[in-house]
Amino acid sequence: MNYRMVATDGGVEVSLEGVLNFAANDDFLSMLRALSRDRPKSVIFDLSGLTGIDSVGLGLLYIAHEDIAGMGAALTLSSARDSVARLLDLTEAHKTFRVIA
Amino acid sequence: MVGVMGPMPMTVAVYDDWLVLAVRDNCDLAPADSLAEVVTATGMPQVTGVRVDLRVAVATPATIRAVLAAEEAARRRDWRFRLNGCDTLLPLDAAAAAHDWGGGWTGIAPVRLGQPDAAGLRAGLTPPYRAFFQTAGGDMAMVGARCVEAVRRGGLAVSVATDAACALDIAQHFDHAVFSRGWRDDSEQGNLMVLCLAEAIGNAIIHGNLGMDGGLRTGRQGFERFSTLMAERLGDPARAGRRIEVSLHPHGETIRIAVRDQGDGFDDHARPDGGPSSDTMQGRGLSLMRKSARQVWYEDGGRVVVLEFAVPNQEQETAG
Repeated sequence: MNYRMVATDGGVEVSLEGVLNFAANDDFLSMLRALSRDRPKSVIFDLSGLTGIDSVGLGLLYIAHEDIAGMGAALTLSSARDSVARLLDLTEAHKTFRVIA
Repeated sequence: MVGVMGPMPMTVAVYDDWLVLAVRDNCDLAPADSLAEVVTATGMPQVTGVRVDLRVAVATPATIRAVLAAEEAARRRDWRFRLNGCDTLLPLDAAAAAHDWGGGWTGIAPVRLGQPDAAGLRAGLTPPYRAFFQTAGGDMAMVGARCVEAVRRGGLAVSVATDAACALDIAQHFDHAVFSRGWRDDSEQGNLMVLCLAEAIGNAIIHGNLGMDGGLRTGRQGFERFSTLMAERLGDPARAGRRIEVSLHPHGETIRIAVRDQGDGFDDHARPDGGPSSDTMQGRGLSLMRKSARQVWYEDGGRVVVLEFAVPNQEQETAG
């Protein structure tokens, strides 16, 4: 998995690319550390570049949600597609995250 | 029509009524090894209706390559199976050999061998190939019998080491191969297969071959420890070299995809199943597999998970 962070008005948009799975731990945790340093008011994960995900990757999203909530910010998941969108649906991610198309 | 893979450093098979001899680059056939001797040794004379090209009089690698190259040029035939020492052929069993898989291949299944990378994996799962096996020098001994059997029955297979499985997106490649061969459709249920495969392969790597406790992945600190431990275990050659094998077996109106690891196994009845919960960060894997597949069960003390899916129609694979 690769990620790219872009500052927005008071927040950060993070574009995730590749596969968010058990092999993405290091990159994802590195991204979370960067967010912890910057302490943005809002965070959007743009998932349109994700081609795959598994339950470990989903767990990473939940950890990000906890971390970001701990900063007093909100996490939005945006533009998930294909299998990523299906996994979010199956696991009722909308009950935890703000999910937008 | 049959092909034969024998203990000798070459493979003999039938392709479009031509005898094809695939020779490994490192093979050392003596000039005296005539084609007749090879044919006798492999039982090929028992095959009826096969025209043997007797112009391949002396079966040295150079001669075989020269003859096939001349044939290719003369007949304008696309010999898609290159005798480059990185492939082999496996014979299909009687039932699979009787099926018209298309593509001009009769009775045999080409298999891509070699070091693992995305291009090799993709090629190995693209017709006419049916498998990708990570091998050293073409040594098939490290490939599990279930993979070989899957190919012989007209299925698909991948066998790689754990470190390679971490770097390759096997689930996506395998799912694409299943879809392109008509074993799943584009329905909502069919599209869940890739999630199911990703879970099964991830479990085999993490819990099976790397022997890691899923309970570590609780909270950020837990994931930090999980990440560190995973890197340590991938640095252990004994664990990193353990095999991850994915094999597809056609089974009537269903396909069965087996994911095998070489870990310690587990007690299936004691395995937690957290369900597709929205408020837990782990335990979703098995539930997702059960939601996607028609049936899920374990074999070999938990080292093999078998996922059964309905095939959309009985035509199955026609693209070959």
